[in-house]
Amino acid sequence: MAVRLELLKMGRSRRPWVAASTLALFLALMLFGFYTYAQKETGGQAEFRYTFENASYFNGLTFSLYAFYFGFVLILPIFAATEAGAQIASETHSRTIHLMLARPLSRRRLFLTKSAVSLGYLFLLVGGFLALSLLLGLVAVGWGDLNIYPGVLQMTSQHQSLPQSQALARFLLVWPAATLGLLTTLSLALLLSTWVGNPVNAVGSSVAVYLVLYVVSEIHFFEDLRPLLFTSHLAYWRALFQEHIPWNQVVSEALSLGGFAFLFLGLALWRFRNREEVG
Amino acid sequence: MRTNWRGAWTESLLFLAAAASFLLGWSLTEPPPPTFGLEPPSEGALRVVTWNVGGSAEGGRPLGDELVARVASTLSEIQADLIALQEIRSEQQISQLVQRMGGDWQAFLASGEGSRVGMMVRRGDLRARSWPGNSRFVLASYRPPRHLLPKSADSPVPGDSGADGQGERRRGGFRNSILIAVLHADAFSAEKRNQSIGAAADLLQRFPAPRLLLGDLNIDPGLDKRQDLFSNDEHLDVESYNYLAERLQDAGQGGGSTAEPDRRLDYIFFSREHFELLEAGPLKGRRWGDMDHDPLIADLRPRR
Repeated sequence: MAVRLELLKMGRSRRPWVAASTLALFLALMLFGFYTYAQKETGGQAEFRYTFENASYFNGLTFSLYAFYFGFVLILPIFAATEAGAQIASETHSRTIHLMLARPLSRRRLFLTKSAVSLGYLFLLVGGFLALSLLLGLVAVGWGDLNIYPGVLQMTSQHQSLPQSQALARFLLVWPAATLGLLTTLSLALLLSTWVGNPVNAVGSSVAVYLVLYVVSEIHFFEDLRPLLFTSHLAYWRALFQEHIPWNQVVSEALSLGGFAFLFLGLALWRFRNREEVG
Repeated sequence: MRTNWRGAWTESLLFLAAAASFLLGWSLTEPPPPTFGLEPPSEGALRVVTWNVGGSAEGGRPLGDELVARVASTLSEIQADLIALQEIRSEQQISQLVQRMGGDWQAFLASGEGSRVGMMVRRGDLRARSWPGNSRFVLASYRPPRHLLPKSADSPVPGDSGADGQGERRRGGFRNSILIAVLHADAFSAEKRNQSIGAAADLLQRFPAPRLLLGDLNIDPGLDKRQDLFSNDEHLDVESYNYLAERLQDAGQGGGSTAEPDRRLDYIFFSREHFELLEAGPLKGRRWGDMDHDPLIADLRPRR
């Protein structure tokens, strides 16, 4: 019953539709950029330079990888934060939290239900985005083998070449792996949602904290600080596109991300259970 | 009351799961790559070193005379067969290095002014020349002792008639030799780096001889670092690196940074059909004053 109610509220909030539409728009823009760039590079318009890029490099799987990577680090965290940040703060702001807690429903149960619904939403959003980028890549560009070069998206230290079928299997593995990465942002937003009484503030501060940590984790000045930030591990799923997956590294980073997610969720639950509803 | 206990238990479980995940994740973290030790090279291995011995003061300056003795001492310890140096100030400096290292070295310094590249070999015969008008690019052929020469370097090329010298001409005069390019690519322009690295790669590729490209390429297509803080065209640097990596093998890959701040700028590339990589990496703890590069060392076994 509680889950159904949360799903109903989510649907009525229109947040999922806004997220889906924005991601579709992003993919359309990416496709336009990818197509024009590939045309320029392989159509003889590029100024002479020594390069590894050629016509077979620009295929649908390369497009999907580019689109998913940038969507993952720059757009999906915003929607994860939007959904989770609004969960408890919006109930607090509209004072419906009093109504909900008046029912025979524990705070623990309510929190876990909202967390589970947000996680389910995130899982579907990531899967949908990945599927749509692959579909667009197939229809508009055409698939082929996936070639990854050192420096490109900073994914590998040596040239990697995956046959099409193997690359598609890796994209499938990326789905749960990327969802786990975004679970940290979602948990952080849930935590802030239990502290802040206004959903706009909860979402805004979650996005701001994410961006600050992301920027810090990208700058070499913070070499010693980087391992301590969850944003440094977020895109760990890129290792899944290596010919020989470095499982030790993948599992290590996944566990670190899981640790952050559990920590934020634990703190959020503690705060939610112990706070006093006023007003 | 019961629900309170459940809540507390759930919280505890979440915190425990967090602690367990962190601990397990940390225990699986791989240690940083080992730095190069100073053991003597293996029997039959060619030890190659590249080192930018300049300093970072005044926006980059050549090797200071006061540091020549320390550089020579380190190079002697490394026991290399072939040394590529960048940011040498003068003929006098390279002569001092040779003298301090025992004298049994042949050396060459690019002609020109200011910061120059040079090279030294201990055994065998060195023939080198500067790239016209460029003190940062040297092309050389090195004829090492026979046991350090890949087998294919002295075997006839297809259609080689042998005695008439056609094969020798086809090889461009590099029979029984290793063809070496030493390069110090531009620090500020990705376009200039692309042109010099690409031209050097193409030049080496023209010959079937064993090939080495050594130097400070000033590019770092790192795994997890933002390069656009250091480059005016990050993508062009990625293109330069991959253009080279498609033709030659990168010995220092995975060996960690060679320069400040935490960047891998120094490279030893070799033709994979002629050499097998035994070990490579930067030698740490050998910078003095404002020096900002480590020597990068590689042990290559000629394929025989």
